[in-house]
Amino acid sequence: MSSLILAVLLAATEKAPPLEAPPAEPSAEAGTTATAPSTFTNTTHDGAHGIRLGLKLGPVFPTSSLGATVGIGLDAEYRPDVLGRLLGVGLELGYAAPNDSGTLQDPSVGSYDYELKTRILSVALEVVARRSFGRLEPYAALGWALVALRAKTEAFAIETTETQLRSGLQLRGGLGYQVGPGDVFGELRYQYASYAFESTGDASAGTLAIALGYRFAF
Amino acid sequence: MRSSMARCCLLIAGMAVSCKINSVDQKGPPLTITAVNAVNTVGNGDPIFCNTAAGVVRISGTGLAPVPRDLLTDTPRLEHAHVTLVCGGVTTELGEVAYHFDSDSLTAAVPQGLAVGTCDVTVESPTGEQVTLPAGLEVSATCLRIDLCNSVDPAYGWIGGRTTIEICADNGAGRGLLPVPQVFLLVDADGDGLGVTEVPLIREAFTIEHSSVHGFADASVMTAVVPASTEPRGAGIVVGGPYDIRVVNPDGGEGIIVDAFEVLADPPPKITAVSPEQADTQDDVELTIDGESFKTTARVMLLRADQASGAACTAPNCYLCGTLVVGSALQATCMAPSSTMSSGSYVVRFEHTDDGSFSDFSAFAVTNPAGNLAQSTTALPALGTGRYAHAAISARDDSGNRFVYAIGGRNTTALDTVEVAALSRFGQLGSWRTLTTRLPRATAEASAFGNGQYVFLSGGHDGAGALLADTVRARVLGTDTVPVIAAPAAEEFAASALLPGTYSYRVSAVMDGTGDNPGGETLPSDAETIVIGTERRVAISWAAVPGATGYRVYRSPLPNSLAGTERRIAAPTGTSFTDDGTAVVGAEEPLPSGALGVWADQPDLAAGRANGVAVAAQATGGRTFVYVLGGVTGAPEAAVTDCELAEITSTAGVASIGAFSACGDLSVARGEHIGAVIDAASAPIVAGLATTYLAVAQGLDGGTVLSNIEVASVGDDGTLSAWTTYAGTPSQRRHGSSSALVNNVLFSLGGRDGSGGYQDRGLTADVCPSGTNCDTDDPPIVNWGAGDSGIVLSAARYRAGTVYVGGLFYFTGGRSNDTTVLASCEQGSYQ
Repeated sequence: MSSLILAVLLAATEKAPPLEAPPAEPSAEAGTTATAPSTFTNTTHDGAHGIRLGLKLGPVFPTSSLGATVGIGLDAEYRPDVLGRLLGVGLELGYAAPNDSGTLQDPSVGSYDYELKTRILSVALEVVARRSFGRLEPYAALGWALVALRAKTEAFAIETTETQLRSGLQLRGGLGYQVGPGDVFGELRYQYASYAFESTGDASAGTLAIALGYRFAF
Repeated sequence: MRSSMARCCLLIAGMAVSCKINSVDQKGPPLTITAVNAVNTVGNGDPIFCNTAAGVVRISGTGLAPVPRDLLTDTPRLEHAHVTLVCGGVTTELGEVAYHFDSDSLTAAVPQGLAVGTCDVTVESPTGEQVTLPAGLEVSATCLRIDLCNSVDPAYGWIGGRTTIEICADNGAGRGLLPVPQVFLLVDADGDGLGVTEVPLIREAFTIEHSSVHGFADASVMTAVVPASTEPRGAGIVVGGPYDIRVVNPDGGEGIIVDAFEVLADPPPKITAVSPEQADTQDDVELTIDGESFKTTARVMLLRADQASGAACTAPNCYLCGTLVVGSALQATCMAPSSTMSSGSYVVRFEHTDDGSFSDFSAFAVTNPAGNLAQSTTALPALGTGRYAHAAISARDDSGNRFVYAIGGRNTTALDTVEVAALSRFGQLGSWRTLTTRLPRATAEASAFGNGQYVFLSGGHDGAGALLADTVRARVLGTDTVPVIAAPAAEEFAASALLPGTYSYRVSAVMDGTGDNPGGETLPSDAETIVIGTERRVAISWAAVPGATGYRVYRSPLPNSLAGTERRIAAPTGTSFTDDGTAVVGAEEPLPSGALGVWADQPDLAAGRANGVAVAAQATGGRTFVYVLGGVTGAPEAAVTDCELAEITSTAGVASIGAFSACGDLSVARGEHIGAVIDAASAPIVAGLATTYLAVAQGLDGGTVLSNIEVASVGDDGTLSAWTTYAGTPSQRRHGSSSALVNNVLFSLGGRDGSGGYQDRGLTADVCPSGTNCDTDDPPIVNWGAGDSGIVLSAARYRAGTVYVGGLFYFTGGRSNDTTVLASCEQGSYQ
């Protein structure tokens, strides 16, 4: 992680692109006719290809009784040069492994301490919108997520592992700050999916995540 | 996971809303069923389920555990397996399934009315895995099962020897033992539940039909013997276990005691001697334990109450003997923490910690240094015949069992009977039995002494007013002359008069005129049992006993009788007998444990002598002598000062005495006096003198009641030194009292004082009392101390028989006034 941050900082000092030039005024002297301004102009921190690739890390708060954990994520997006690259499509990978523990009461066994270990791996296909204001660039994304869930319990020397693929929705938004070839950003993400494991019962697998990261622009 | 992902991705295009693909993996023991048993009222497994009432079955196996469910909901729980029975084509799902972690088993409730026959038992795990045990449960409408206790005693035995075990059952639901069950050891050599070898146990004996024992209001008890693997009847027994035991009643009812008996590779330890056998509460003492088969993986405990093998040793009922050193398989030493123990009688237990086998030795006594006895006493079983002026003595048989004897004495006339009562490990006295072997003649006021397994009786009055000079000897019968009976065999015999059922047989030998039981009968063999049907006779045989001239055969008079009811049916001279039921069943019973052999003549006293005191003492040089001190001789009968001594020798374990000769006269004539030996065992305070002494005290000289004490030393050749007298006071006058010398204290208990009063209390005299020099005062000073011993007997006892064994005093009979002869007995103990 520290090497990643270092690389980002190096890139920011060596290859910081010039600030975007102000729109050209019509030149009467040259007798040329200036290009008519677009009816919708977006400004972003994109590179030449409208591609972003980001890496992020931060706490994840399940909406169930699972405990908070740390999640990591990777996102990519492409915004064609349409509408000033306001809109695009994105793909986001997320991973977190929240756990839970407690005590069960059973008439024949008595008190029994259990431990539940879960993993949530999601792939989301999103529509992304972003717009820059100087070095700042807010953005938002809405997508459909394919969520791979795993729950593992161990009791009486028997280890049971259940896995599922579920679909869900996710919504995220954040704010980037242009540094180097991309943005340092902070992001809030909500993802909804549901567990239907025997071990967990029907329960929410949703998470609320806060992430910080860096997103390269190409 | 990857394949699932791929499958899902293929579906993505067509999925507008959802994609849901599940998989479950489980790691752990495989799901198996090894046994299904009905659970009876005492918690045991029974292979047969009775369908006339609802019940519970236990399913044993692996992978039967529940799994957690709904952990992220408000109602987390454990989901148990599902159990179904298919009986007669009808499927029944069982309820109340519960998992038992300790035994990795399930229990489930079974409704009544299942179809009779066998049922397939299916378990479906919470994850959907299934396993079926075909014909796993047998259902019966006849309810022939036994509510066995869930353990046997002992729960282990050595593979190289026979082990008698006790089995009990609860009669509460009418499913107790019926006379006489058959018992099988289910030897599962590899522990997989398959290939079990059923080894029939032998000598099944029904001992108690109804009794409130083992925690049940109404229980039945039996015994059976696990044979050694080295004998033909023990074929199949291998080291291991614990193995199940199956019990089958004559009516076909069955029960199984799960994990009941373990077969050990090593022989259990055996204690033959403990030295010293007493200590006081002032100092710890090092014990030397002699025996056999001692292993270093052991602990030694001092027990006041029985406890299970392996149980924690916790005061005040158990004290660990510290610093255990097992020097060899034959001897060990340890430090008894007597300074922290309370006064009383303790069993010394040597226990192997690796396999739980142990040996007990009775008893190690802890006394208080002042010799204070508890005021109250404990009532004991009464004698069969009230008697006084009798001899009382304790002795062991060759197996170490202890007995108390009341010999002869007077009731309205002199008696020739002998009564015996067994002492338990913890000093509890059993009921008295009058032995069929009688004294040569009625004898009262005789002197008794013992040596090993032999009891001697010297002098006394006969029933006709004559003084006796006879000395006779009898042996506590042992196992060395007991016939070894082979397994009875049933033979077809149409004319047999035996009814079908179980019979038990015992055989004893009748010895020739030589040996230590001349012409006498031996103890009987252990009972051998056999179950016969109709038109059967029973052939029994036994090994010849050296020196036997004949044998006596005993049989239970009726089929399915309790053990111990055998009566004599034959007296063959050979070593076999065939019982077809035509022999007349007599009244004679086999001799009980503790029985004495025939009284045999020993050298007579020089003169008829009654009311003397006999003490056996080992001189410093190692020779042992008996001294008959004082008493009354001649006519008219008068107390005398003289004494007689004879050497006691032992040849091949047989004790006998040589001719009597005179020894040094007492300083004063005494009759009805007390006497004792002062040596390192009875008075360790004077052990430094390295000399054995005799002490006599009190008594009657004509019309004078005495209070003083005399002491003389014993020379290597048995001669006595001159007697040294220590004065008493008038309040210490007694005659007809009982005595013991224990831990430096001489007791004089009961008796009469000078004014004719019958005493229910006792006096104590200190050997080497405070202020004297125990290392140089020779002979040691013996003085009456503060006086009262502390005990208050339930009745005054004059000329009672009193025996001291292992920290406990046993008072038998006596006279409480001029006319009342007591049969009552009581036990005294230290404070």
